Amino acid sequence: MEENFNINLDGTTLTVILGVELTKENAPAMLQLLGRYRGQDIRKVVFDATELVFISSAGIRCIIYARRELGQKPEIVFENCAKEIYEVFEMTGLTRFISFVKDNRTKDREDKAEAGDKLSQKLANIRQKELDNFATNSDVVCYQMKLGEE
Amino acid sequence: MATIKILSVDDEAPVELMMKHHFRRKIRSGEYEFFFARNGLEALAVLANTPDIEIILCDINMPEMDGLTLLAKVNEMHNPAMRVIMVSAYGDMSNIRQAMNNGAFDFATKPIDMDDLALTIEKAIEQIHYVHESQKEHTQLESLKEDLVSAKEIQQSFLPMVFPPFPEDNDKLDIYASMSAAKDVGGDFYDFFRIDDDHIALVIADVCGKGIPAALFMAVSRTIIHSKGMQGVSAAECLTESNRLLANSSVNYMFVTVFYAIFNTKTGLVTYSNAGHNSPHIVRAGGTIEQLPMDRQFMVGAFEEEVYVEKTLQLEHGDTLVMFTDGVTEAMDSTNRLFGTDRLNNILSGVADKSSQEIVEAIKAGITDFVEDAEQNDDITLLVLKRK
Repeated sequence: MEENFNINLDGTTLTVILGVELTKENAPAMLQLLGRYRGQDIRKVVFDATELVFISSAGIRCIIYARRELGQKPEIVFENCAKEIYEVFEMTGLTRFISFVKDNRTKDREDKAEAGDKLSQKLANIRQKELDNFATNSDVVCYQMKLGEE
Repeated sequence: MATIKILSVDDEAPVELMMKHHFRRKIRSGEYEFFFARNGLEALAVLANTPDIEIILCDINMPEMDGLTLLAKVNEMHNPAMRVIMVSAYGDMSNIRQAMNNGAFDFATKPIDMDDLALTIEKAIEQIHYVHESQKEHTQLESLKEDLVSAKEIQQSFLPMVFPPFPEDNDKLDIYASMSAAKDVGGDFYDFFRIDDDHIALVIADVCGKGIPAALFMAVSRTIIHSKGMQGVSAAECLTESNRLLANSSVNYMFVTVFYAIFNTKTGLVTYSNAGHNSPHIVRAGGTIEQLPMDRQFMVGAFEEEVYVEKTLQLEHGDTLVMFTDGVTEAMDSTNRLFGTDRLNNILSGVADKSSQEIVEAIKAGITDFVEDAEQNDDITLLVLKRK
């Protein structure tokens, strides 16, 4: 299977660009590759999770490895982490040492989606209000509709 | 390398001399050992005496029993490594075709080009080695399969299976549990044991990964947690100490999520510590459902220095604590939809008056109905405690 990730070292920062999944299929290869950076005074490990939609326990082992074995407890950063994956980190306590950041493009996309959701909700509320008004002011029509006479 | 035994079957005497002369070096070095027969019947007698012959060089037209009949008899022996190379006159193509259709490995025409025959024999040997390797792997797999069955039995024996487990407290509590492994052996486990007259410990846990490594880690984790718990230490202390031991010896950064609870049978107070495990649900006697808050503590075995804390919850008479592993909420149907917390809560909303066994069965039935014929992808484990 394709390894589905890339690792780059820039000074003391190691960037791991994750693919769609981090599971038992590709986590062993990542552990092996991360092992090459032991003893290189890594201060920060950035996991770019823009594409990531699923992480299994085998994937979580890679994060534990990075924290335990690369340098003196390096800072661990997750970039553009999906909500579902954040929840897994929260349950397992990993949010205590992982910082979460979003790049501008993701932030912008999410803001737009949120704004879209709010607008849809607003429109739905207006429509409901109109219907309620109609129902209040048109008892006879509603009654006839109920009877199937309209 | 083992000697390859070759049987040459030909009614023409010079063939024997040709073989012995052409392959003399390989015969001398012990790579090949030749046997000779003048017809099919003689060949069968040689095969009966030397069953490890694996290459037959077979003439077609012979007295007593011809080569095609011999080929049919050899096929009946069902030796997957046996390779038969037909040797016949150049003009005998229809017989050669028939032999090839009946499973001969290759053919050579007379007058025999010995160099070409030598290559054909080497090709046959390659295939024979491949068959031997496959047979060896098959035997190993069969043996592994048997080991897995034994491993599953050993693993199941770790899990308490006698219900009710504490008959002397039948008037105070009702416990039931179940574990269905996704593979032959799994990484989930549950446990419960009496600490003293008034306290019962309950454990539910999920080791990362599946299969043999998870099962081995499960056995070690379960033993450590059980033996620490039996010493009567607090829930937090039990996890802190177990974590220290497991993180020290953890191979490949394995870990286990654990929910450890101590139930006071007199007061209904539960003191618990949660190490990265799914938060259990409480079904109150009146039917309302609550989920314990997330504790954000590390999984056991992940980080050695973790110091766990504990919390308490009060179970009133008729309240039920439902503990489960993520195999429940993450059970998947054939379209990859998850069973989820909402479906679990829907089931729990109708079980306030049920026994712990009925609750476990109801959840399992709900999962079975949901996933239909989709393959089980994770261990499914449930542990239910009801205060009577």
